[in-house]
Amino acid sequence: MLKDIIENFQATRKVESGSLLEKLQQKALQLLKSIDFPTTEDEEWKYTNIKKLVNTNFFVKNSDASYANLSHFFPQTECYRLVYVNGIFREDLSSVLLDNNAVVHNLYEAYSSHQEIINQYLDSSTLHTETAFTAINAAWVKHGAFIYVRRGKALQKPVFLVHVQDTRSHSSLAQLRHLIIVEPGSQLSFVEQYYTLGQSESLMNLVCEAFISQSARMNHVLLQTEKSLSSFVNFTQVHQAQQSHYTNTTLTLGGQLVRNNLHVSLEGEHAEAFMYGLYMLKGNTHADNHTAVDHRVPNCHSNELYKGLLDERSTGVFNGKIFVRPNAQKTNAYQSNKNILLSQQASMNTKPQLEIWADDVKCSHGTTTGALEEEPLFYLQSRGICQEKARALLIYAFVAEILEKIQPLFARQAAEQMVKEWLGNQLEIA
Amino acid sequence: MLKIENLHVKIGEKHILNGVSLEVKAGEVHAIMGPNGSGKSTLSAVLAGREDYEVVEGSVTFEGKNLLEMEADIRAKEGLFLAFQYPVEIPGVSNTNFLKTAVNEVRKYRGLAPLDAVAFLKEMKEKMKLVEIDQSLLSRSLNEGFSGGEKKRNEIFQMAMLNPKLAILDETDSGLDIDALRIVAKGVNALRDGKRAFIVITHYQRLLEYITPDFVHVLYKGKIVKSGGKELALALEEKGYDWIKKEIEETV
Repeated sequence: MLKDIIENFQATRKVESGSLLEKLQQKALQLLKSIDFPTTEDEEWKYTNIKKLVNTNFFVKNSDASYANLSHFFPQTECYRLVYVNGIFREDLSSVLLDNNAVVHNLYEAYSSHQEIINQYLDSSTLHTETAFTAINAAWVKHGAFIYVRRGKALQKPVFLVHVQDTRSHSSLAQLRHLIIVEPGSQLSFVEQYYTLGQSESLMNLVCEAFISQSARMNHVLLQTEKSLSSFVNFTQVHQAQQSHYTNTTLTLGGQLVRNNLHVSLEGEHAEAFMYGLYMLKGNTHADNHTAVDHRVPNCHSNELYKGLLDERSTGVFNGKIFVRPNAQKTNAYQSNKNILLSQQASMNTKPQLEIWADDVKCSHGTTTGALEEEPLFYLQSRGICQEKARALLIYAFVAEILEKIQPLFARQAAEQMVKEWLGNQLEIA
Repeated sequence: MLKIENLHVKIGEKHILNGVSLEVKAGEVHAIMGPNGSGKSTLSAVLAGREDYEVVEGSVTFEGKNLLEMEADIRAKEGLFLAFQYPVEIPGVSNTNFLKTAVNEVRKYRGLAPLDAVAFLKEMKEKMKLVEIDQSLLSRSLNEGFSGGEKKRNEIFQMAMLNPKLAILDETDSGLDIDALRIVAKGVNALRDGKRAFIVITHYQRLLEYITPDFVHVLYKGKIVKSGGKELALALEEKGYDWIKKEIEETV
């Protein structure tokens, strides 16, 4: 089971003895002795059963995948590129940045030159002790993106992270720990793409923590397009200082069991957070999006829109929490979750959850789940468009609202292409 | 072109059409009038291929082919067009993209090469003039936020673009002011070329002042109870439907 794997494969997580990384690993290993994985008894995991997942015998192994095996996954655009295979950094395939303005590198490699700042942020993180998943991640802390944009700098190119699960010869457990620091007034676009190569089972256990300082901006895109035997557990925690701006777009277009936890903490006034999600599920895919936005101070704005399409026997979960703390007056917080079920067997569990302790706030939430409407379908068909294509047009119209939010342009185009493929290439529309 | 024979249709347990027979030849304009609830919209919906209706008896052929066996999109590809009474709003689907998809699907079926962007635009500009429709409407989402008149004009515009052999106008006049009515009628008249046939379904005679029918039929309780020339429409306008209802009751 997952915990035992930690005992094996020690070599892959080896770091300098005495370093903070090693201390974090040791602490996490200790913690793992006393905590267990959540079960469906746990309210937060009520609809997502991970029993089978945590009992799978995964391997943690370096892959011999070459440039030829992997290059078709790489974004064809000007960018800083971080490539990981089976959770292990591939410097040979990456284009990193390490200068006085910014760092885009693997955490472990960056550690030697930026030990102080990495120690400072990692040591104070409370994420590692949150669940068994984040603890396992901490027990392996070594690989993952370290992005550090210094005060007043904007990266000239977006950062694309490409992770490939190479399961051609065995199952794979991969873990990444990202640390992102965007200093005051600086800007970052960060796109994460996750792929699978091969047909065995895999799990990506991701922890991502981002600190967005005053008046800084971050665009964050997560594209999950893995195969039907790939699972994904993700804890992304974002801290926002005053007047900062954060946009997250999470796209889930495949996988076996996907659980995303996106927590945004608004810690300075006039911070703005936008959270968009799109899940298009078929087969037996189960996708669970848990989001939380924590309005800790006054005058912040959050807006959240998650849309889902569920076909065949897929299942979805949306749980969106909004917390408005007692002193967080003049908060604007909006949340919406809309789903279309394309088959009788698909199901969706959705739960908006607002906890508001302040009295002068504007908050709203809403959720809808239904079938594709008959009237528009008939209208399109009556103009000579076959049913399949008419459905594709209507579905695309439904999801376009999310796709439009994706920045940078290349990521949006990639996402549009993936959605069209999902729809069976029925569309030629621009 | 269109031959409806003894058509019986029900929705759920409710019988709506009780033996409609009608033949429409190329180039003809038929008006179907009748009081509310007589089955006018059901007839148009059944012809266009809506699935909620069950045909219990009778047949419909379109150019010799069994229309009732065709999917809605095939009927359109074969050359049947329905201008909806209530065109649906479809947010997120651009009017132009939708129309280009539709036109090229139909062309493909008819063995014609697809129109490229330039040819499509040219065709569109030409047909836009017919119905005095503004370019800005076409770049918007399909019917979204359109006024009643704009929606109806968009229907006629689509008709012009799709080149049907038979067009059915389902209460296209409802909710239109006189200007909009005039524009819609102008568009329809421009498309009367001696070959294209029309079925104009309406409650009032008003529209028929602008679109002169060759035949007028009165639908009542799911049956055509009276047929005549355009003077029948005038008589209905003048005397209402009561005298016909009375006539029917007396003959029973």
